[in-house]
Amino acid sequence: MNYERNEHEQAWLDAVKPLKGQLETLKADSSSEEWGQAALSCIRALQARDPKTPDWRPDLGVVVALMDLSTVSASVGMAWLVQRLAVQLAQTLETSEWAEAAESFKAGENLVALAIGPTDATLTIQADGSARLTGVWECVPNAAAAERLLAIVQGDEGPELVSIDAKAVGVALSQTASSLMGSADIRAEDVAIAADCRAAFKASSDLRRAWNLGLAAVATGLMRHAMAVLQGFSAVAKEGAKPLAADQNVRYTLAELLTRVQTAELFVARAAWLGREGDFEAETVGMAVKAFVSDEVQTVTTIVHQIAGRAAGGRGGFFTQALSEAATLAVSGTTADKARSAIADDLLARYEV
Amino acid sequence: MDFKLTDEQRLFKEQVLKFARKEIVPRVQEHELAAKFDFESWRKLGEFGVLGLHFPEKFGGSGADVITCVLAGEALGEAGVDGGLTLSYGAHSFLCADTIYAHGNDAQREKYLPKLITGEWIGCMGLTEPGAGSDVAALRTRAEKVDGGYRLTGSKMFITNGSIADVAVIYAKTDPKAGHAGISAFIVEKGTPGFTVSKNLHKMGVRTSPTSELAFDNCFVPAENLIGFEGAGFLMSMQTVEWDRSALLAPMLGSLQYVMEKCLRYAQEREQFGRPIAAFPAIKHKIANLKIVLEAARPLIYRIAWCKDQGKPLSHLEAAIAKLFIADWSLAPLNDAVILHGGYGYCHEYDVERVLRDSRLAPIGGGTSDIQKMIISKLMAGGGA
Repeated sequence: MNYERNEHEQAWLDAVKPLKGQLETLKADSSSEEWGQAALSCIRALQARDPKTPDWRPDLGVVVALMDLSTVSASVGMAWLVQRLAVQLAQTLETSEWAEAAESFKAGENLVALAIGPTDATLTIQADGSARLTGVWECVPNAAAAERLLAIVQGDEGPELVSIDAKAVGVALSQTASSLMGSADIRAEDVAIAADCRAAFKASSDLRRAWNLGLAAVATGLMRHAMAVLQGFSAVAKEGAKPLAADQNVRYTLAELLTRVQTAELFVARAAWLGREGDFEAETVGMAVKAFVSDEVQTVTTIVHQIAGRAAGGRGGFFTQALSEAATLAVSGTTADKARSAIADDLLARYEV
Repeated sequence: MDFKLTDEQRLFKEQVLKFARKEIVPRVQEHELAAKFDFESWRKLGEFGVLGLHFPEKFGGSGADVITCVLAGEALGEAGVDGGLTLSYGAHSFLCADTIYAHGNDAQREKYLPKLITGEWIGCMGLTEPGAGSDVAALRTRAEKVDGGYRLTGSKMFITNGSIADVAVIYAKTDPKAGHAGISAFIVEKGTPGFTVSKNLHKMGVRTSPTSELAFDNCFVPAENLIGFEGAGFLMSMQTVEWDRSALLAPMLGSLQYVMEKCLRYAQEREQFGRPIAAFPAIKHKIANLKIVLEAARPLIYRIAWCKDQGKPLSHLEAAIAKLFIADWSLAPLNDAVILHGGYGYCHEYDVERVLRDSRLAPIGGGTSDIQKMIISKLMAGGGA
């Protein structure tokens, strides 16, 4: 057992450090272009550190780096998570076209959006192997600034991964009103998909596990960010003649928030480690951490929003943005509700009477 | 970071689990209902080596690391050993015996540790007073220096093992004007003139562990029973916090597992509306919540133990967070576990209400949850977050 960061983890944190400084200029009301440039800049720097052939087992260094990056910008943390998953997905497909795409995603030549969530998309297969795609995906991370969209859709012979040019005829984006920065709704109307842009999708369990753990890491970073902003705010914002932090209740609430944050941080790290080790509990603990963090990130951002009071009310401000980001992260991947059911099903199978 | 337990640690936990299920658990309900300390189980804990796990072999211990002590505590809770017995074990081994081991001299160690480690003697620690709990500087028990020793006058409140202890580590003020620096620790033996148990307290939970009020009336304690030196008591008491936030909390982790397993069994056996209640999502979620809190709390508790094993200074922030989390976050799932069992959950025989009652000491004993928040918020203000 060792609770100290090893050299590998520390190196990842060192890589994140200068990026955090760059991201501080990003505001809640920054444009999609500004956000996309900032995200790509971070992704390029971080992807350069990634090994050539990433595997699906969690890398604890990447997970702690993702948490840390998300303490400044959850949406950029999410952008990196999505880009990494896109690389991994493309690498599993073992064709030259997809290998080329993986290289391009890895190099951060362009930003990729990944539409994983439930959809009513239909893929109509043509005689020559190409296809036409129609569907709507809501609140897709990175979509607002992405050049390429990866979507998992139901094909004739099972789920398929399709790659779509974001500027293709028939693709339309619309900004979601309140969500993670950089995310958008995607509408595809009879979009042509070339045969080499389709592939059978076989990594659903791996993707789900990596997606859930990544989301938990991003949400944990957001929790720490929200707590830190409130801590700073309560030291300077005054109620009457005294700063908010003079109120014992505010101080104790901050203590509770830190308890939630530190618990989540260790929980995410241990879940990642169990996954890396291939421990028999990894699946259950992975679901447990997703459920826990999904609940806690919403609780933390709600409490922070409430204590900030009127200062939190303005549209485009951090406190409001954090609330909507927390809600988006919580419902992305496996929701807390479904995660709890999965945990119980696993335990019931293990402790069958 | 690496969360791996050694094979030896995992094996020992399994052994404690088997031992406790066979030798101790069958006796729990009888003693819990009668609110009686189980001397037979105590003897068995001593024989098995649990009481002296971390002490050196020359005193009869096993020289185990702190993680192993945590795993032993976890195994006791997981087996279904009641919180009363595990509390008595914690107060005895970590608050009394360890203080003598860590701060006493060779003569004190040789005199007291072997009998405390076998369980022949029972130990307690007296810090809290009717008017001083977390505010240690407010202690009123006085240790006046006299020829050949000290005379103790005052009273101690909520003392675990107080009425059954053969040996007590008592904190008293040798210099009332010096605040924390005026506190000293003494070994007081049962039967010392002027030392009496003035009252046994009836409690909501941890009922097999006697909790008492102790009185010191001009009680003479020889100079050789001073632990360490005059004025060192406060720091000694603070060092017990490492144990308090690791090995003493560990049985709660085990209890969450114990209750979860009970819920899993009951939910599969109990049928309503023509199917086992385990088929209902609301029941599943109650079970899942126990697992979530257990897995969230585990690395927090292990972290304190790991730091102590590494000889690192205690992080009071991390210690307070560990205690606050397990104390406060376990309430809802343990309460739901009782509800999951319906009417049976409210009855003794299913044992889940006992765990709920026992667990309610956690936000109170060893510093309330409010005190933990006070510690955390002070350290946050100092930049320690």
